[in-house]
Amino acid sequence: MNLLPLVLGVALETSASTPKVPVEQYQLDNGLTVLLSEDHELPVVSVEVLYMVGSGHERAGRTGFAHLFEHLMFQGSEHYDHEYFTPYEPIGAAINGTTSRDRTNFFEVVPSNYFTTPLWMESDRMQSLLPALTQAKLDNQREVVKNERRQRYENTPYGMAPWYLSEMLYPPGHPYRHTPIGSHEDLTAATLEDVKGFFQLYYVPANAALAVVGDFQSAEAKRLIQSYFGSVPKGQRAPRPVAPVPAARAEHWQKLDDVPLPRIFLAWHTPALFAAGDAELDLWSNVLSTGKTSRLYYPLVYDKKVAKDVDAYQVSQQLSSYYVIEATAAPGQSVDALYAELAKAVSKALETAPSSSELERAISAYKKQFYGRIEAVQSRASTLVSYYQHTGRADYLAEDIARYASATPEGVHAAVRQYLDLSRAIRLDILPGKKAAAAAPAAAKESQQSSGGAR
Amino acid sequence: MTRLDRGACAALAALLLGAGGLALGCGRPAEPPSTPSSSASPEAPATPDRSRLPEPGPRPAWAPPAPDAWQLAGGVHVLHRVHGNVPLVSLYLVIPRGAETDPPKRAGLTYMLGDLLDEGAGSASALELNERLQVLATDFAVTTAVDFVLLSMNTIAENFAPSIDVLADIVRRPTLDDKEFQRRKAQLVAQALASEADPHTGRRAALYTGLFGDGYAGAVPTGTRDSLSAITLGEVKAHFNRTLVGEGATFVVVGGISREVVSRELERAFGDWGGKAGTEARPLAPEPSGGKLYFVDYPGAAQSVIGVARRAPGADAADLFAASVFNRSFGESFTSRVNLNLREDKGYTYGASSVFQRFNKAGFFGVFSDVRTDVTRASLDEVLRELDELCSSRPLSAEERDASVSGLLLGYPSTFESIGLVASRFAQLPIYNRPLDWYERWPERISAVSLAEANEAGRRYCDRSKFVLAVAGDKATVAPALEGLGFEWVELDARGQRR
Repeated sequence: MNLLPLVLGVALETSASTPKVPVEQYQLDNGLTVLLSEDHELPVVSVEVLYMVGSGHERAGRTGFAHLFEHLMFQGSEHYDHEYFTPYEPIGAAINGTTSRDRTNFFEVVPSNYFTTPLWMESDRMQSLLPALTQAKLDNQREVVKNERRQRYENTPYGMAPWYLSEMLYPPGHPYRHTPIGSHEDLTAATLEDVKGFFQLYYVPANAALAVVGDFQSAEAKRLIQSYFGSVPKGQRAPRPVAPVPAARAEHWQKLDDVPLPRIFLAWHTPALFAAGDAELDLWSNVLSTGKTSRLYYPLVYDKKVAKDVDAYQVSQQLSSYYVIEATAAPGQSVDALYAELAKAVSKALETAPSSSELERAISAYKKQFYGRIEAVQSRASTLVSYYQHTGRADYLAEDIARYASATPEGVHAAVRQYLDLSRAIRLDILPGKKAAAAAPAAAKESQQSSGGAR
Repeated sequence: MTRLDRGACAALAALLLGAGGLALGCGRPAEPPSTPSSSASPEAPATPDRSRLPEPGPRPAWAPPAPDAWQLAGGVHVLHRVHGNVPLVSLYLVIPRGAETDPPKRAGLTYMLGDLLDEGAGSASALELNERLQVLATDFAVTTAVDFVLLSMNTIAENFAPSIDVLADIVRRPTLDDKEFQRRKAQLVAQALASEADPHTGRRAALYTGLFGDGYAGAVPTGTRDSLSAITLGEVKAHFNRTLVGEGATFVVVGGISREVVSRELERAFGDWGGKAGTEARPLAPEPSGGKLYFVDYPGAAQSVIGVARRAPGADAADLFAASVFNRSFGESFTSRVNLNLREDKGYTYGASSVFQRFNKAGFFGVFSDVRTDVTRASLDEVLRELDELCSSRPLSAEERDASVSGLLLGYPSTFESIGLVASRFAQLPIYNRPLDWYERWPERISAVSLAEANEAGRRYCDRSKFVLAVAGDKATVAPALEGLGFEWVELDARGQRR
């Protein structure tokens, strides 16, 4: 190989500018954790509220509820009983919320002179969402969320794979048994009482963190935050869900989808986010599937051409993670032929530790990715609250980077050998065919409106 | 944490209609007061006033970053800006010739050429070239759209010079050998095949066929199984010679890197780059008459993927600014009429939006949504009703116009936040033949759009008889309800071919 003398690892080490994000962390008396990080580069501020509740906290028969609840947070609160997007769009703000298995977050990126608006709005829905809640709002957002499920899962090629994988990986009763989108059946079952109970238990200051990043003054922010959030009743931090340890066992499912090419997923249980081995498995993903010479792409896609694509990735989660290798067959290749070659390539890849060159490249890619994560105020705020949730310290960037920068070939190989045993892999095949109807029949009645439709 | 499982979001991200989109919707306060946001504010009261939303502080002074512009010795243009606080560099090379130059029955030729550029170049094989980029931690990608080819590199500032060496090999000395050609061609055909399973592919094919036919912008830039299969290496090489030349090309370099370094390195590797382009654009087909419904069958689909669209002027539209003010209220924003109706009132969808898609020579205005199968007809009726009402009983209100204008203006700084965003905004200048002061002048042009002008723009695009409908969904369930719509039924496959 024609390697250039300038190796990036070296370049980054000698650079004076390793990424840094100064952050001040404190708590209000009611337990709300506050993270402040000033940056006056651009006149914008990102405000993010993280609630430490996700689909992992859902009770039996209520899959999808944490996410449905997230939607209801945009439907108005006691003192602002309108669409929550309404005051933000005329000020050019970016606003959204997301729900994962482990947490729910809400964020707004606003012009800095409107910095008080999200504090007012976020504190109002934290304090008094319920007085504005109605059955009509719940019914509407239930339909919206079911449509989100159809759009992201049911009507997307291979879209149901994460759902099946979860059921294969986690036993009944495990908090990660289902993906956050939930089932139609359970979404239909959700009631206003469920919404009230969930709010009172989880949407409380002691279970939340507020991050403010961007063009503001900390002294002023502290006064405002105390004023807006200080009187919200404390509540309690939600305990982590109790998770039976999933057994590592080989299992093989085959499911049909309206796709022309078979795809194979292999999956394993792996260490939790920030636990020993988590970063090593991330780095291993680059060794397996980044670039044409990577250990899976080269034999499967470039050389033998049995696969159209191959990918490997660690899905990092709070309780435990999982690792996925997926490969799509090239046209004309059977799933058996693909599996035979995939198994051969994976076995061979597992035999040897990453070379120093493979590892250096992977580390360089991650170092660069860290710069990307902290470049914009919104992703910087999300990074800080995530550090806080998982480590108790928002000021964790240096340690996070060090997990990658200090990884060794032996360390990566040890993690790989420990967790990615092919004989214990979960295997899911998605095969071309007629997919099973994933959904119960649509609940709502067909609208009879046809104003001017027929001409 | 490569892939944190984010699960799901409250709002749908902007509809992506394929590359080549013009980012409409940016503006800056026309008269920024000079008071910085750091000015002292009154003490926050112990109990906040919940009777109304807080008043904003004084608007901070801010102006968009402007590029430095110069030309290399051979005439190639450069736009540069030191930007951001991380040692990254975002580079674009804009070639102002794109899929519009694909010959008949060869859709995807420009795309395939772009794909092959880094499959061996200079003295390096495909594998060696890839290795060089990885060692540098430099990401390289090629985007092919209707009007342009965009080569992009994201790199660490310290590795800029060796990355430029790789780029020069890729752009000027690609190997284009038969072995890699055969391999990549099979890959691209497989990708095209796989994409047909996605109903969004079917809708796109149906819509573009209906709007542009075989002419300019009508074909899929990434080609179809058939068109890609027909392409020969000889055709790719000939297309390279007429496309990848210096004429009209522009480098955009943004990030933690000085003008001196950029100038020196580009001059060294591209100073003598020139050559005349020999491509020809497909002629634009006459505007379709409207009144047709193009249908692609996806048996058993849980949703129908719908589009309601009509031709509109391209990037040089005379009503560009008025149209973007109108569109933000009508269907672009979350609280727009279309989304509030189909999602927040009816619950038919996870999101609905309208967009002006602008290519250089033409464009379209369309409303898009993924709707539950059993309300496909009802959703189309609602979209058409919104268009009708815009032109009759419910023109844009002053409040809607004001909210659109202020949203565009106040959201402006965020659209320049990252190195990558600034670079992509600069890249649009040569793509759409815009002057260097375009972004500086945008705010005053947006501010100047009156209610009457916004409504005039709306009226220009609301006549339902000019629209074509595109639906990708379950024919058995949906077709009977669509018959009464009064649109002529045309059935296509996912490649846009008549069945």
